[in-house]
Amino acid sequence: MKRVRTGERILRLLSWMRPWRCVHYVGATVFGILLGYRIVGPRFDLTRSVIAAVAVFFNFQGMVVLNNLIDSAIDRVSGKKTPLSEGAVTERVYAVWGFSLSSVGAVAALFISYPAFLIVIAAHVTSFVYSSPPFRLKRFFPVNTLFIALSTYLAMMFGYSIHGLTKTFMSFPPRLTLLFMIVFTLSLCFKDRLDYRGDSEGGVYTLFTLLGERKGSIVSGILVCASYCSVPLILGYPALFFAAVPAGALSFFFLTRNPFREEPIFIVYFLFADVFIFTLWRNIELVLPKI
Amino acid sequence: MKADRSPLSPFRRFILSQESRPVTLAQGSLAFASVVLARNFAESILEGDQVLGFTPLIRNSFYSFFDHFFLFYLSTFLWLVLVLSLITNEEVKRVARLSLLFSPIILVVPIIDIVLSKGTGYKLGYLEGMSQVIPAVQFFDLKGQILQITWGQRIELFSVCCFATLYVWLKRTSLIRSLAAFVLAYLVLFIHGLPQILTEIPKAFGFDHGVRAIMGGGLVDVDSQNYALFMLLLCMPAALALLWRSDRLLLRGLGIGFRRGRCWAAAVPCILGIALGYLAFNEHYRMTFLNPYNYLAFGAATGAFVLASVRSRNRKAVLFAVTSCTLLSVNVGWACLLLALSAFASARLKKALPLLFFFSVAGGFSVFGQHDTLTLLLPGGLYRVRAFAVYRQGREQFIQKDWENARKLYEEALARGVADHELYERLAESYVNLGLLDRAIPLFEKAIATSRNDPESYLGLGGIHLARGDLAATMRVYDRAIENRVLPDRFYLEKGRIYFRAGDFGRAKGSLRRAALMGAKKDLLYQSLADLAFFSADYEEAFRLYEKVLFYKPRSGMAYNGMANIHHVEGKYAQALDLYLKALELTPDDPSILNNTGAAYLETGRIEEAYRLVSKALAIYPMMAEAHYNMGRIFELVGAREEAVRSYRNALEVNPDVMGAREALEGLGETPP
Repeated sequence: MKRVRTGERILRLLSWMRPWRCVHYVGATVFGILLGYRIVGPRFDLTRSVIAAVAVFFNFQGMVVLNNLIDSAIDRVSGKKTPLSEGAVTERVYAVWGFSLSSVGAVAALFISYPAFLIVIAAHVTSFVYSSPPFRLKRFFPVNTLFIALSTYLAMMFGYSIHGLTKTFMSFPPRLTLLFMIVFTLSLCFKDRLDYRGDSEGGVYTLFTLLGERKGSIVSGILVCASYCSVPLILGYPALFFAAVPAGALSFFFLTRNPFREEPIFIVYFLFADVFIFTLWRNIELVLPKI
Repeated sequence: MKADRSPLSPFRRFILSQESRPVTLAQGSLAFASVVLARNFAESILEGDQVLGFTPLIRNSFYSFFDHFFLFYLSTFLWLVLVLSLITNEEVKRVARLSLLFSPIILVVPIIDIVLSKGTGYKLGYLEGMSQVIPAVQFFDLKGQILQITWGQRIELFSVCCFATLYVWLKRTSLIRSLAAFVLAYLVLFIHGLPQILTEIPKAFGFDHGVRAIMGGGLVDVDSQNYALFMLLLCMPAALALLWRSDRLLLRGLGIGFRRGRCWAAAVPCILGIALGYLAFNEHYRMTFLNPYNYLAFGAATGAFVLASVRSRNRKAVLFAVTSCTLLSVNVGWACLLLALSAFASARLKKALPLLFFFSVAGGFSVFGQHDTLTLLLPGGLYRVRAFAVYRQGREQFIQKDWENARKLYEEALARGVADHELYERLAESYVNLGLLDRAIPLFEKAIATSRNDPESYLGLGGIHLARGDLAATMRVYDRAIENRVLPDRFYLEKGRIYFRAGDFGRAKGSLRRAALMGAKKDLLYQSLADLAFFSADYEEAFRLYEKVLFYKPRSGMAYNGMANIHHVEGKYAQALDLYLKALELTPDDPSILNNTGAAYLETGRIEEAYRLVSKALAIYPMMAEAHYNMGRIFELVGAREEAVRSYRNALEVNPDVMGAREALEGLGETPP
């Protein structure tokens, strides 16, 4: 392998940061921060908010590294571009890189609070159990998407925890917990479409390896559509159907289209998330406990 | 060969396939740690304020989260693997791989418990003394009410025993071996659940004093450290036995590293350091040898420095030595950890025996000196030793509720320059319990200024103002706690109670709503709402809400107390008494329930019982104006006029607005203060 400078190597590594998924996790954290501010108020701690977003970025990148390290063989088969499959770094350097990212993320979380640090630890536990043997839960559908949903939920809780509540989880609206776990478990199965070939070879059971690429696309499209439509139902706010139905239909279309590209699906998701956050901001009582 | 056609053959095939899957030691260790952390995490978030909990007191929960529970499960796991590998005569690695796959069973405890407790969780303590240990043997008596064991734990234990039995049956098809596996698995778990059994040792030798102080009164700082020490020393023999069965090379590597001279060079100075600590402290702190956990600390410190002295070329052996040395020393204290790691580094240097000697002496001394070790070893340290020892002794008296001695010792420590949040808070609490409220206030303020995130200081300070009837001052204290984000749900609940005590039901409801937003437990929330309905004389609604509390927490003494209060104000004294007694059975040490039951006895003419209970209430909480008033009524009924007058005056002194005391004094021809 050609010798490269450390700075250049870091830049190369950063170019594989999986931007869409990164926005998804950082966005979940920002949502948690905003929700906490709306519920708990009245102070908004900008410094902690920025640290939280940065910490999630680093931690997510650390988890991606772990996953890539373990899946390097599968990724080569799928043709997935990772620093390892491209031969940009050695496994050892990549492992050190991942450990450094996770450590920075964990220390940043510790700056926020002890509960925030524990949430980061929980997220790493989730990531390890998901990716690595002996459990390697990513092999089993729908446990794999359930764990991705759990990671998203933890990212959100991380944002929520910056408000310094001692009972972070107990104070999080239970209706939103239910909503996010259902919605993300249903919808996030679409992410496996690009890894179809590698997953088949590696014995990973996803919707696509179980049903085949075509049928899998249709079923995952239906699930994504159903997840959008379940948002107004769980929230008890029918007006949101005006955004959920088009978002679901568009996602179905993009998911079943050939050649498959995931970017439009993420764009639709982010647009719907904006509408959702705006709706919730205006109608926060929808999720608050009634006494 | 004949094919296995029995119905168990798929299970056998599964076991074989899983046992032979390649899992590295690092992956296995991380997977195990992940499972335990996931369990701790689930317990913290689901059961809120249980032993772990997302408490703002990092120091207390840190050891529980990352050390105590982890070592508990590690030790259990190692012993179980050892037992199974011995019974089946199977390779350790294969048994360990399969046991690891079964380990997520420990996640059932928080999940089952939160479901069965309808979201309220259980607040558990450890078994204390033989009186609680013996009923715990009835683990499988499903009708038995064992307070210290939840259904989640029962299911966990039963599953582990079943796993052991089934595994042995599938491996060896021997009924005797399978039953032995069941019994041994049960014993392994049972023994691990009894760290407090050590407290029985001094009792057996006739030393009753100090037994109650076993945990907080030990040499280490946090209770979880003591438990972790117990677990750590429990898992050491299992780890060594497993190594003996699986990797003798590693053990030999360690053995070669244990060069006798170097080993003594670490062990002897460490014991010397312990002796030095003992000599320095013993004059002021005489409890050292009465606390069995202290022996564990001595053993752990010595073991840590012996392991720190190992020099081996076998990398695995070095890893094993440094891990064990870290685990042993961190449970003795952070100072011991730093010194042990320094000793480890110095043992690698040539001609560094003097360094190893110094670190080992200091490490031994750190069992007593804890985080002040180095300052105590400096010139002039003896003066600080005295202050430090007096402080520790004060803590011990405090835990034993000997308020007067605790006060004296804490005052001396304070005069000798100890400035610590815990000291301020506990001295203040001692003052409160001795009725010296004015002295307690500035100390609580200092405690809050030193550590803003300890709820106890706010509650103590608020409690003084509340006992004096100064609701505005109490509110200000609770607002500060909320502002500092210290258990805001708890303080909003408290605020709600104060508002409805002041008759401001609108604000009371607002506070309770905020408490609900901040994650207050359902039972506590409904308890407050029920109390609110009670104070607004809506007895029907109050009764309904108390029943709701019982739905969420069937063993809530406060709910029965509330229902009894309703009967009491309606004049149904016999029914009230029944419910008070039920409340008392569930919460025997609650002063308000004791006082209320005493009052109910008084109404039914049973003065002796009333006296007994009200006296107990006052012994637990001398600042209860209502109990002083009831005591006055008791004295009045038996014709002890002087005592009655004194009790009424006491009631008015604590709270000038206490109901009935002023009129009672006037009725006795006395002028109220």
